[in-house]
Amino acid sequence: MFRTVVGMTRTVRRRARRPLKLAIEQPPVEMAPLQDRWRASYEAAVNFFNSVKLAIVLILAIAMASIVGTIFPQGDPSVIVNSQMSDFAKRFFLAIDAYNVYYSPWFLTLLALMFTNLAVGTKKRVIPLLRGYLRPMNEMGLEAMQRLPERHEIDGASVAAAAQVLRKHRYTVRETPHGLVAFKGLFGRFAAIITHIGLFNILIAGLCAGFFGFKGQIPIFPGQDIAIHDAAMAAHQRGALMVDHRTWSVRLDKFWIEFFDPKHIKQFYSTLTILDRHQRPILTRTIYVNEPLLYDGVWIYQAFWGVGFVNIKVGNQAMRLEMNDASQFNLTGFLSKQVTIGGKNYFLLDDETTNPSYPIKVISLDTFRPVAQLDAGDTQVINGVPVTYVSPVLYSGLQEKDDPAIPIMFIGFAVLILGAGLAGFSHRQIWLRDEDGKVVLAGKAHKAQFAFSKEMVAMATQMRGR
Amino acid sequence: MILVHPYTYYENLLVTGVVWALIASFVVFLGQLVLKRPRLKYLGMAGMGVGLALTIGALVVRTISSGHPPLSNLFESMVFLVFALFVAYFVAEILFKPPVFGLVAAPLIFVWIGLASILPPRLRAQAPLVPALQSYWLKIHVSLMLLSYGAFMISFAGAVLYLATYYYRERTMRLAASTAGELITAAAAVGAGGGTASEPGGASPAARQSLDHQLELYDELTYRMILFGFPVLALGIICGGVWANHAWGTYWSWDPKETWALITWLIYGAYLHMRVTRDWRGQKAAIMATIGFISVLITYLGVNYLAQGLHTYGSLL
Repeated sequence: MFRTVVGMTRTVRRRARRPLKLAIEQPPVEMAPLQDRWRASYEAAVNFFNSVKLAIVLILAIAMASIVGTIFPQGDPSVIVNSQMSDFAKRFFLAIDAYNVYYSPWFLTLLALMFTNLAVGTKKRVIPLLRGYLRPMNEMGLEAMQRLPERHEIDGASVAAAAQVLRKHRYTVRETPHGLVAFKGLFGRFAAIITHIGLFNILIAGLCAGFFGFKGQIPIFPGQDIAIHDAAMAAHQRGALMVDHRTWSVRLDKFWIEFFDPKHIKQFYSTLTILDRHQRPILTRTIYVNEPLLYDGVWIYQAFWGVGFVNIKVGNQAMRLEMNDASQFNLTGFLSKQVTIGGKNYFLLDDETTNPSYPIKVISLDTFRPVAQLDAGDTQVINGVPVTYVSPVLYSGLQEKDDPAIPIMFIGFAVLILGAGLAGFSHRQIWLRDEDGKVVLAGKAHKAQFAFSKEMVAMATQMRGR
Repeated sequence: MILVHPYTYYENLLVTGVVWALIASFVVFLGQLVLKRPRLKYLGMAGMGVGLALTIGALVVRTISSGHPPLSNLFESMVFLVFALFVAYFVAEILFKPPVFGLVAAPLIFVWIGLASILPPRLRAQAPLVPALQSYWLKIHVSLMLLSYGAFMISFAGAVLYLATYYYRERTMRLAASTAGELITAAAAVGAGGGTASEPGGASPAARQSLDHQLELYDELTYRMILFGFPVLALGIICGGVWANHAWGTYWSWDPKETWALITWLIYGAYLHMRVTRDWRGQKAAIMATIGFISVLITYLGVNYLAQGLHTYGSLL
């Protein structure tokens, strides 16, 4: 097909050269062949991306875009919708996905541009440059050496003695016809490319994580068991492709909290049992924060907890009231739905979540003031009715996660650190030329010119001394 | 209930000692500049050394009395930051021997130890570690971050001195040009790094050459500090991610503090790229280093005002 296109355009060009014989004279139409125009556009794009200044602009653009994501709470547009801003401002911020910056099309486009810039720059500049530095150094003429930033005249010094001084300073020295060449710290040149490879690695791992894994948070009550397959299905991330084939489930046997003192929690513990598809226990382990459980590629973490129910007795009637997270009402702790005691309406609030007696406040729905506070086991009379707070029912919050891209991500981290760490090494190159008794020592450093100056002065002094 | 430990008395003594050591050092450095006595610099450095020793003392006392590394609340991290700042200051002094570095570094460190000493008890009180912080990762992640902040803040001092010298040089050049009336001569003299042109008033060629030398020195100081801080910050962020993965199953959750640490890293990345670009070295890079410092401030303190996310240990609200 390609050859046909080329053949066709050759025909077009031939026809253009032979003018058409028409009644009206028309100038021939010259059009550049299609693939030449594509090549021109491609080259223009490459030239655009092959720029360190563009890299700086894109890095700063991503930084500023990230700032937007720290100003607006992420994940929930309702904060913007319910805010005090003007209608126009609200529509603007919703349109630019200010509540979901890091997965928005424009942020991802910025990332794509940065990585394209990185790829193009690496191929066009870095690789040729590095190939040059890997070749052996050539000696320079005296005129060329005059243009180096560091120059010292050390007439009278012998080349062999100079080589010794250089080797003592950990230079790799190679004798040349007119003197010698020396270098050290060559791996400092590779710092940038290794860092960039690490960045690419992290990007790819991040993309894989979004597609090949699941992550979900599950509140679980003692005695309850949850099939991991259901958790994975419910926790499907944006674009998750893998369907979970696991058949086992996790059961919470016991959840408890240890305290340093009534205001400070020491640790949360959950005893979990893994059950196979026939409900037979496979293993039992107690997890706590910073000590997760790994089974069949799934990590289970102690992530959160809560008061799920409170058992109370109103008069003679035993009730089990469901408690929900109070943060939706800008309160801390957990609160219940409406409960009628002695004809009036109240709701229960536990806002002292670090108190081991899990006290509940009984708050009137008419006045929104607490009328009583009960510790577990207490009985009080409210509106003539004896109310007993029997016990709270706590649930444990587990985070379940399977992320097959983690090894790749961690390798990316290691490569990034290696590259960034190498950045401190300065590639120093030294030429020494002995021309009829006139000995010139000259060199340049890739970074840290000051330190190199000092080293050159010290070495020149040592060489003169011999 | 706020635990008031008997060690608090010694802690207060040590922190106050650091404050006074810094004030004394600053006065000595001022004397070095105003009285033109370069020898006073060593006395100033001795004062800073006393400050460093007292800071280490405060950290040790805190560790003994609380039973865990001094990195779990704002006060402890600030004292550790002061320690990192002292270390970075001494590294800068010894490697580069800048003429009046203590004059900028001492007030900078003073601000931080002063702030630490006036923190409300809520942010200073020793409390047992919450479950999430009960991990050996605490020592690694937090200390790396604070070390990098120390390096970046000292690099900011270098950038400030660079810009001050730069604008001073511009001003003296302009003064010389207006008095002599020959801009070309002045520019040529600067370009040659000390030519033979003589101008009445303004900067003599020798002084201008030393100004250029100073500019280079501050530029290199800023650069080397950032070159050290950059991988340390990267390692700190990565350790934070590895720890978060171990504790919560997520190595990155775009939490404001995490994101601002990344923003700081990006800004210093932009700085490092600027040094490779011909037109954007020097003054523009120094300004980027200043922007980076502001980002460090926001990362360390500013996000605590937002009071959301996983890092709300030092909420200032």
